[in-house]
Amino acid sequence: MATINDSRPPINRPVALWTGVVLSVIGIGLTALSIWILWLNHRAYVEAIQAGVPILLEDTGITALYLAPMAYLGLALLGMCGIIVAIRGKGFVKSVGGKLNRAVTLLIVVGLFGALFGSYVANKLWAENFQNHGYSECSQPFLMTGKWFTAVWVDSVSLCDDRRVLKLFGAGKHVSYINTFIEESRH
Amino acid sequence: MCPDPAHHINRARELAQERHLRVSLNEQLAANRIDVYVLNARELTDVWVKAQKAGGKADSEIESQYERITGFTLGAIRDHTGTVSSSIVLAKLGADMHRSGALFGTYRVIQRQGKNFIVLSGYAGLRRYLTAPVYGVGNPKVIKMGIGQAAAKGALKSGAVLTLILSPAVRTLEWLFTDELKTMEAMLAHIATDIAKGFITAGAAYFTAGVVPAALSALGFSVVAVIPVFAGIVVAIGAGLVLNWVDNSLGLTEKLTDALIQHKESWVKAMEENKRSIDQVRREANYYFGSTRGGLDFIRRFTGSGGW
Repeated sequence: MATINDSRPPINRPVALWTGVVLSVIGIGLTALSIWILWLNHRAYVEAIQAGVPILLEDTGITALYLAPMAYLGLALLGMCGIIVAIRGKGFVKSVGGKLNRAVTLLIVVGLFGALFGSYVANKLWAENFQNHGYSECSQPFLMTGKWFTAVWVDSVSLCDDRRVLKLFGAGKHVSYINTFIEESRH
Repeated sequence: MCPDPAHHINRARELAQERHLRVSLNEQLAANRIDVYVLNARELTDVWVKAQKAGGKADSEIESQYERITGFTLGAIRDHTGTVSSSIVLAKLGADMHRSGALFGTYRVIQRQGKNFIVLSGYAGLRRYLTAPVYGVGNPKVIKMGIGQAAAKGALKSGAVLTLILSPAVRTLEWLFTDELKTMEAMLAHIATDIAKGFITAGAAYFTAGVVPAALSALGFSVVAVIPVFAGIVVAIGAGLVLNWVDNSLGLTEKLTDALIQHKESWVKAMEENKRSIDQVRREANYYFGSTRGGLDFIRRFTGSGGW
């Protein structure tokens, strides 16, 4: 029980516990998902390049997940602090609380701005990589695919204006189906 | 091989017109409330007739004017419109209404699945003539879009809701101006998944922005007020990207498009079967009750002497 002279503020244990659990789940969950998705995405790009697919769709939004986990870890840290405080039944001393506070703020701010800036840099690097493997970028990806945050890379620029390809995209066909169609028509 | 210069000139003219249309549509989107309508020849004719009647013209005068402009009688267009006649009516009537300048700002005649439509962006006055009988809500080919500064400001106030308003608008414009390459089902599927993603993302963002201050106060922390907002934004980004990735990987939008197409096909098939059944019943009724021989046949079958 906090004494009258204690500088630590009173703690609402149930609120601290539940908000702590929720924030930890969000933070750790999104961090794990980000890493898993980025790993799968990398693998998909490598496989597509090795297979030499005619059309490769790049998810230009997902690159924000390279640095966004910093912010998610900030949320997770905040959540864990909540759980610890709920278990202990008393808050952190001012000096420790201040440090944790700064750490959480720093992680969230750096994570947010890092996600945006990191996405820009990562997209440039991926673009360079695709170009080095002989792919060219189509100029109107949204009109082709109808998907947000998607770049269309093709092994032949004529595919960007190919009406059969545009029609298949327009009919909502998956890119794997379109690639099979192009490969069959080339043989 | 030498390219045909006339083809290039026509193409350049089309592109210039399209650019002009896009620019003026964008200007209107930014400045005013805008309604985009898709009407077929019969519907446009009804709108034109209503506008003429509102101008105080007599029926005979309207009919003769219609015939002079389009080359068709009013009755012919209302009862039946072929592909050629509808494209003529849409082009000529659209030009006439556009010349008068009172009804709509921009228009374009498009072809979708072998049928002609006029796409027009209207002023507020146009809405008076697009009443329910002309412009039914249940009509699947009708798309109406309303965006204005007031709506946009309201949406901005509520953060992520902006996506929910912009997505249908952007996708509708995309569908209207991509020359028959996109199906309506794909557009509707994209709008549906966008809205679902938007709701989940907005929910995650609001939840985080709400939970963080509670956590901070429970912990006795006092942080910069903007941190919960930043946390909400970064969670919204993450949730949106994860949902996008799930959609792309599992092809949810594509599956939804296929389902919509199949549903439409089965509906059309059922309607055709119903029509065939009705036609058959009508033919039989005509035979049994419309001719002496049929009547005798009916009595013979009814009494059981001939078998049904």
